[in-house]
Amino acid sequence: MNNLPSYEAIFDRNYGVLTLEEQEKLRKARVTVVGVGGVGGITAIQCVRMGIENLHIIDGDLFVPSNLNRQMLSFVGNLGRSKAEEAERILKDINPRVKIKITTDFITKENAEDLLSQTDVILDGTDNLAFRVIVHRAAYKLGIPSVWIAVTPPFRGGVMCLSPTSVPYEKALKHLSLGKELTDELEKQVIAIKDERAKFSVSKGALADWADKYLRGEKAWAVISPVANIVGLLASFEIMKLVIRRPDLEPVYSPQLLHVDMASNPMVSIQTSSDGSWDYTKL
Amino acid sequence: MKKLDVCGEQCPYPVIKTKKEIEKLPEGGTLEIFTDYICSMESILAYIKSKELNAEVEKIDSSKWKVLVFK
Repeated sequence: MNNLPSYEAIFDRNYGVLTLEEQEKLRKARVTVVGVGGVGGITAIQCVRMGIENLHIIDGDLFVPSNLNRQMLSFVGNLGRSKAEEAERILKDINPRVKIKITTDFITKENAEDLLSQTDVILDGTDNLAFRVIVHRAAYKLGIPSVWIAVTPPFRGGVMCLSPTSVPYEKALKHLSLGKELTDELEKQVIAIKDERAKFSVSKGALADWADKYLRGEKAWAVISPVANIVGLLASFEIMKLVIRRPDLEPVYSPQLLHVDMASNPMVSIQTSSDGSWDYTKL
Repeated sequence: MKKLDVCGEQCPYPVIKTKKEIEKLPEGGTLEIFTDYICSMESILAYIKSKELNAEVEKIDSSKWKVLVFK
């Protein structure tokens, strides 16, 4: 490509906010995004727009019509196509030099450590709570920081950074699976947390009719675009902090929680818990 | 006819299992899938379409579907 803008030209406006050294750290950083849906999609876009040039996108899913309400990588023109392949195509249109490895498969207990080993930061953008345990366990074992996110009806969400020296994921979110082998039975118990979150969300303003239907399997998780996307934007900022490691810009490490409730004042706050963990059913 | 029951399972397990069963299915074979989660139903149908296979969907009740896939 002859008229390809230089890296310096693309990211000229970053200077002044970021130093040249920090920009170089971003350029060299390797970020893995597990799940490029409502949160992972916009996070991947922000990573590329900040100057990150090495991404690994892991997603076995295809775009379907119900993604269009919020997923920034989904368009009518790519319905039915692989989310990972489409992410690669769209992200290269922002910065053609970006090196994107794609895995068009889902992360599993068997492949997680292998898929996540060659990276500097992991974003967990999955929607199955058992898969989240798999991602953060692998990250912890590999010594790689990972970013947890949540999007909860009606207008809530959260972001939390985890590292080998912060409170482990399953402890920070009070999982029964903590310290145990993730058996099928334990996976079911972890997944059931989401049902409790649906029930609790009614007390925060989610429709009771939706919650009933969600619990019966008739409706999917309820989410509107700005809420999913603000969570993704916050997650991408945490990824930047994890990469540039500026001393006065500490990531929000567990058990601190970057709490989002767009119906409250403030809409976004950093919260601490008295006992060092959170009741996930209320997040 | 091969039967796959993924009722009670959440995404992405139903589509992972569907992929595996369709790969194993011989040419001319039919797979019968049962799911009780609308999200999985959507993903399963998108996967079948991407493989250019034909499918028939039958709604058993308000939140249970039977999908027949023909390879």
